[in-house]
Amino acid sequence: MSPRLLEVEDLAVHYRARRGPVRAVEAASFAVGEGETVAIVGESGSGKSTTAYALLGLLPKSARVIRGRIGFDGRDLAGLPERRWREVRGREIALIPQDPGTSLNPVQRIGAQVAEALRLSGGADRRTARARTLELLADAGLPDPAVQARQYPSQLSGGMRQRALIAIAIAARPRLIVADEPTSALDVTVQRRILDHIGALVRESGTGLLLITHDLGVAAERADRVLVMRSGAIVEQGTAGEVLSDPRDPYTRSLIDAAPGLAKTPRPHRVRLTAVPGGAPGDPFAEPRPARPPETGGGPDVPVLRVEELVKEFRLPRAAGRATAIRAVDGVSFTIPRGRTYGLVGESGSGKSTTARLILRLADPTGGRVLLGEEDITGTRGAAQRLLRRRMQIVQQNPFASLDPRRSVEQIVTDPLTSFGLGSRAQRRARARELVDLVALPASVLGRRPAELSGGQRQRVAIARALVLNPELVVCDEPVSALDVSVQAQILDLLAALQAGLGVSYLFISHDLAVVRHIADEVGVLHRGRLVESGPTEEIFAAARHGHTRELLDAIPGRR
Amino acid sequence: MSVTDVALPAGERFPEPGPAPRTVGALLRSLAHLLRDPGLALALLWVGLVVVAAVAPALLAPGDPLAVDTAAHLHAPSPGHPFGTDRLGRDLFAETVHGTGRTLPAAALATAIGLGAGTVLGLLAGFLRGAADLVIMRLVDVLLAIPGLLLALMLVSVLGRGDTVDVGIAIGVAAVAGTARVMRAEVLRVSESGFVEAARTGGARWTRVILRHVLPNSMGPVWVLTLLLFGEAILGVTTLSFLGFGAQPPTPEWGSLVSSGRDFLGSAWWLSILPGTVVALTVLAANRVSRAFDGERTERR
Repeated sequence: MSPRLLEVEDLAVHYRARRGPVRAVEAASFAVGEGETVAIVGESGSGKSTTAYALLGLLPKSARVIRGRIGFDGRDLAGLPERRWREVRGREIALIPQDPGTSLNPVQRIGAQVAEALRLSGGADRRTARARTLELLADAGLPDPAVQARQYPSQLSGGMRQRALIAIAIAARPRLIVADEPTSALDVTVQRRILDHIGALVRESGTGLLLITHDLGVAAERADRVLVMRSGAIVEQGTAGEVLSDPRDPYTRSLIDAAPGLAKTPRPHRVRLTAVPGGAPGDPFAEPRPARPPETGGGPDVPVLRVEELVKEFRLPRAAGRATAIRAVDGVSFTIPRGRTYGLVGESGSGKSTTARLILRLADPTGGRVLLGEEDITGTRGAAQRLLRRRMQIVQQNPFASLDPRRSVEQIVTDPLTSFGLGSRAQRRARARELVDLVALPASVLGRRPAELSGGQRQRVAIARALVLNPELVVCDEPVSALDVSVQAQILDLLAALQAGLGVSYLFISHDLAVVRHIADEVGVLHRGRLVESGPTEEIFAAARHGHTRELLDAIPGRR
Repeated sequence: MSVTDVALPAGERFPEPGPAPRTVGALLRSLAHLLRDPGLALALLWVGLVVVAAVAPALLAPGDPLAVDTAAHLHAPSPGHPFGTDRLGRDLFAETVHGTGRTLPAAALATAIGLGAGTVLGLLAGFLRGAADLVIMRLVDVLLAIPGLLLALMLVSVLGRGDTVDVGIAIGVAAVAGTARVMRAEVLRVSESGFVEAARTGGARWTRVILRHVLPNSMGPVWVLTLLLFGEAILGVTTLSFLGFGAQPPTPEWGSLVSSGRDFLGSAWWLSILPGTVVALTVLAANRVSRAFDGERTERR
């Protein structure tokens, strides 16, 4: 094995809190060799980021290293005074931070920020800084360093910003790079290129890399060795192959099961619903009529939603010689059969969320038609538009923003009923109980506020709210992308079970083909506003025709 | 309606969330947390005393504040007269305490007007956007362009009945602009949140979205502003009565007390200095408490 660069022994970090200490990391021991890539995998709250920040001496004030040794190059970094840390941090151990959107100074040019890192670390003086800066930007994989050095962070895409941060991290030729979720804010195809690049840099220079990630697929694909953390402890440790093929800890096994990209075939859904809550579509308290009422759009043969040649243009501020509008959605057509799921996949900016907003009538299309059942809803406004809300609902991406923080779960779930004045107070309360139970939450959450729930629990509440009116169609806009993998799997199972039990149709929007594979009957791939490919899910996975689809498929971590 | 039976493996259920933090114990703990800061504790104590003086002045200073005792005029502070006596031998402490009952309600009225009108304007501007936003915010800019005290002076001259209610209204109107701006910024932020979109998708009408979702979630910073505004209003009200608007002598009021002591600054300093100190301490205390609330809010985020 290569010589040991970093040796962490029995590390314990606690946070001070009002209710006593929080044990964020307990008894963590691991090592990183020269030129070796070690991945720490865990869900949010597992202590992986705390471990990383302890190695950089960047723990918040409320955190303290209680015990343990951080051996780096023969020294113990634990308990090093702040003044001495400055000699280590940036120079010998560098950080690639998580969020490229906020980690660069927005009012400084990229070149100036890299040059500053160079000068601080003594890597260059005033005269050589410029040339070295351009070299570093080129090393970090920016296509045109001389141009990008003169640009501001807001003029670069997320992937380019992350490359600028990599340039800053490698400025001082550090011996260890800590990458904290370096790609979780980026599109999958960009993620792959960035990870490839970091990997190449590390191999060439013999730098050690500690990769912090929530994605077991990424870890397995990129790392020599993998550590799995759970509630502050390292539960599994070994080479990537060992951990994946022969996990000893049950938690690792559940992570592997939950990782959408690692499964070779879709998982069978484990959750089954046995009965269906009554009521007519749109009004759970109305007596279900024997035949479907004509206004809700005929029998099962009529698809629940048809989208025809949908176009949405956004006007740009007037600029000389430029196009005056961009087409965010460009001639998109698809159909969702009743009780089925249509998956819409694309990278950020591909127009998938705009499509959802057009369908939900939260924005007006520039052209094309949207049909719900047999009714053309493209131009509805006012009262008619409000009535549509009883038939279409939304589950949003971020469960931390989608629930009103000042209202109780019961109020949140029954909000659509109250808005439409449906049912008596007692009926609404009963309906809230029923739905909370349906999404597998204990009845005790009804009195709680969103802040007291975890991300997965909140998303369950959002699903309950979307179903309370018995809608025909639920638009799920990236419903699991803000959640941990194991929670992701539970929510996907729940959505599938609810569909089987209630016959509701989904439009499922995601950037992640692996996730869509587990839930969608049909998939459409959006690229720059155009639907470039559409068809049954397994067909697309088996034989993608369009180049962009293949690129997306290749980018799924752990699939190679 | 049949309740759906969910066949979930035991492990799939979420564990019960932890105990709800909203208990009396938690409230007491956060109060204890507040009181760990002695400056803050003093500020709270002072605000409490001032409120008592406004509501039940007789508790702090029994007796008639206007009782004239010509034999004891212009006495320096002493145990019998902690603030000394004025030129007619009236007890200055009793006058100050009873004056609170004029100053504080006027300042409260000013705060209510500033907050109420400012909140409504900010809410409308932030939620309606477009032309309404433009018109309201330009009006607010005009208000901001005129110095607050000047505006208040103008208004109080127009209203011109010469009592503290006028002064309160004038100071309140001058404070509308700031609140409206803060409120608008919050409303802009909150109306972009997912839960507002979810409420719309859930079929909520605009009024319901505003009253149930946007307003309660935008009020936080405005509540913090309340005490700050209250302190400023006290200062504004006393300034106007110092200048002779508002309460007319012999009705005691903080500003007019300071003003009537003006002629004796050389011989009887306490006449202006002590009521003036009370004003200063009250404003400082209100600011300190307001800052503490602001800190608590940011900490909880």
